[in-house]
Amino acid sequence: MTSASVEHFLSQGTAVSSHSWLQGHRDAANRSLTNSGFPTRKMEDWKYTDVSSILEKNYTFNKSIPPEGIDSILSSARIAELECHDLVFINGIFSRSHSNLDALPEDVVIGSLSELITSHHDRISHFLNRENRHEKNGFVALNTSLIEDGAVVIIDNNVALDKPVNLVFVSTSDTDEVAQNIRNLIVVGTHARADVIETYYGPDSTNYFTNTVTEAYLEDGAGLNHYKLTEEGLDGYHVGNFFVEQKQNSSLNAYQVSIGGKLARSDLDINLAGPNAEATIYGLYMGEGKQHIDHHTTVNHSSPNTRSNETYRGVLGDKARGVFNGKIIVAKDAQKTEAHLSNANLLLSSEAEVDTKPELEIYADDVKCSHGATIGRLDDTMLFYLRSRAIDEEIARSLLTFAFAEDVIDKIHYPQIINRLQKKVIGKLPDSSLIKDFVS
Amino acid sequence: MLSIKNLHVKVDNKKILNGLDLEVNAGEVHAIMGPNGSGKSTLANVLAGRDGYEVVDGSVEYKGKDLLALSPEERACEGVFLAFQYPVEIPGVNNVYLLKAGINAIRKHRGQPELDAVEFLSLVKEKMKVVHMKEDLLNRAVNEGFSGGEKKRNEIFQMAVLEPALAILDETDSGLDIDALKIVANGVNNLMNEDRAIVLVTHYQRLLDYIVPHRVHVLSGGRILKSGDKQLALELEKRGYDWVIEEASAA
Repeated sequence: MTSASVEHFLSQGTAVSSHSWLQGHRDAANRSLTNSGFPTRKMEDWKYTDVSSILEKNYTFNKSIPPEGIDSILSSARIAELECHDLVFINGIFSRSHSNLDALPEDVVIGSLSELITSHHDRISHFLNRENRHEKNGFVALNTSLIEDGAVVIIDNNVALDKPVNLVFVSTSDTDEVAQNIRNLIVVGTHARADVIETYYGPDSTNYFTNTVTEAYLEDGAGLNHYKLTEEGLDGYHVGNFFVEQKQNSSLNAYQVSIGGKLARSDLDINLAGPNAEATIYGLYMGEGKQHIDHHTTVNHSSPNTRSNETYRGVLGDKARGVFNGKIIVAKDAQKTEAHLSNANLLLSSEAEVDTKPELEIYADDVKCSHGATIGRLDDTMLFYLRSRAIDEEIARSLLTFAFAEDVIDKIHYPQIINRLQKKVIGKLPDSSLIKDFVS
Repeated sequence: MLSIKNLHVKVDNKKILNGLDLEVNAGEVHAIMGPNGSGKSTLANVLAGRDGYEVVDGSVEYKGKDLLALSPEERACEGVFLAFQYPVEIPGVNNVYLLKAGINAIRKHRGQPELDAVEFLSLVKEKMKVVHMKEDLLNRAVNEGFSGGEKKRNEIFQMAVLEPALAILDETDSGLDIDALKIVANGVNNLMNEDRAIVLVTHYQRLLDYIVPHRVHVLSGGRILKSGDKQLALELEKRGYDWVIEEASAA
């Protein structure tokens, strides 16, 4: 099965690229996937996540579709009232007419990879797939082999981007099983700053697959706030890999929110490659029905005096399944590293399940590290307290669940994103109209 | 208003209440006193409907209804209020929204229109004065980061806003300094009228200097051993509980 699926997936690539450097990456990735195949549950990193249901489908990649109905999908996918530069991709293809890049400041390059690859060939080729990303796993290899389009955000040195960039990826189809292959590149120059949002959205009951890879490079003293909102439809599959390379004194705030998808797997790999680089990561995943949501993170402290702080919360109801794996690696020379990781999970039903594993690999001796994971149910004393104040049991449960998720949501800087997530989270809970009052 | 007959209650398969009888009429303040482990808090929790308390015998009638058949929220809607001995911190749930949702649930249950934001706010402002509640505590998460005294005061504040018919105060006085104690007493005295009743569960006579009870009961071994008026509390303060227990076992 695997080799047949590898063949099918690889056959979705288009003609040889006219850019030989790109074709070189594609060929290498192609070989890598052909040799190693897609991940299986025998691999430690994929032990709890079975991707065979993705691989057995006959997806058509990056299929252009007639524009009917797209406006309503897009209006759901966009973040209401957020002033931003936005790039819209439909089934993996950039749609200039739906995007808004009218007011781009100078000294930034923001647009689609397919359009910029020629005009900004030097800078893009310098970064794209720089660390042989395709060697990580079959999905990154596939993504690299099929590189076609995605977003490019390059901020020049000492420039602070005026507004966030919202990258909107929507999937839609009438009948076919469609897939989108997206490759994004973010480069934040020396002492430059940018906020980038990636929203993945698709209507429920559309069978599709998103395979996305984002690479971010933070130069000396650069700052990036990155939001990944995985809100795929309930019949959508999502595999995402986000790689971040940080030079000295750079700072990353990453927010990873997964509330959609039949199966959604998100990997985050951060390399704190320069002294004093720091990363703060907040994650929230919520599953209901039979959703399967998996987050794998690796923070590599490869330089001294680097700091990371990672907080993930998961809420699983019905028969949903959550997976969290957070790895912290501290290299031998990375003295004075400070790294903290915590993962708390709330199970709302007896059939919900979560597998969590924080891991520390420390090769330096002068470090401050902590990690912890919890799995629990709603607190009985809190529930009783609320009920004794005339709050209905169902509402009390929803309220406490919401409060648990809110602890991550309220760390986000944009009230527009907070509002969106609050509504989405509340929408998943019983008595949503009543608990809305509590947060209004 | 409250009629408890022959109440037997088990917690974790251990008998805590052993045939407790208590009658509380509207317009009365009752004090339940007794040594540690006598079942005082169990009584308070059973009346509020907490899980984990198994009623094996007896009955509790409240305003003519079988109280034990009601869920905690139904009891609250019917006018039962428990001031917790250890008020729980609930991060992420706003104090004032909890109160608003609570009072409107109670009003809805009574067939009264819900309070709008303005009406609610003026009620809250008025009641805050009664308990000298600091305004910044209002918009915090429920009890989060409150000092011990602030938590107890918040309980009394909630009671003042919700205006229950039957308030049960579970050792609200413990751990309070004299000023806080006066505030609690003031809140209780403010609430009292001929339609309401209050059950004070307490260790010490001290609170009863400020709230004059109609009846004082000694609870020990899960039963009421002796009842009397305010004088009984003073006697207990002087002589302890042993003489009551001896007297009861002799009888």
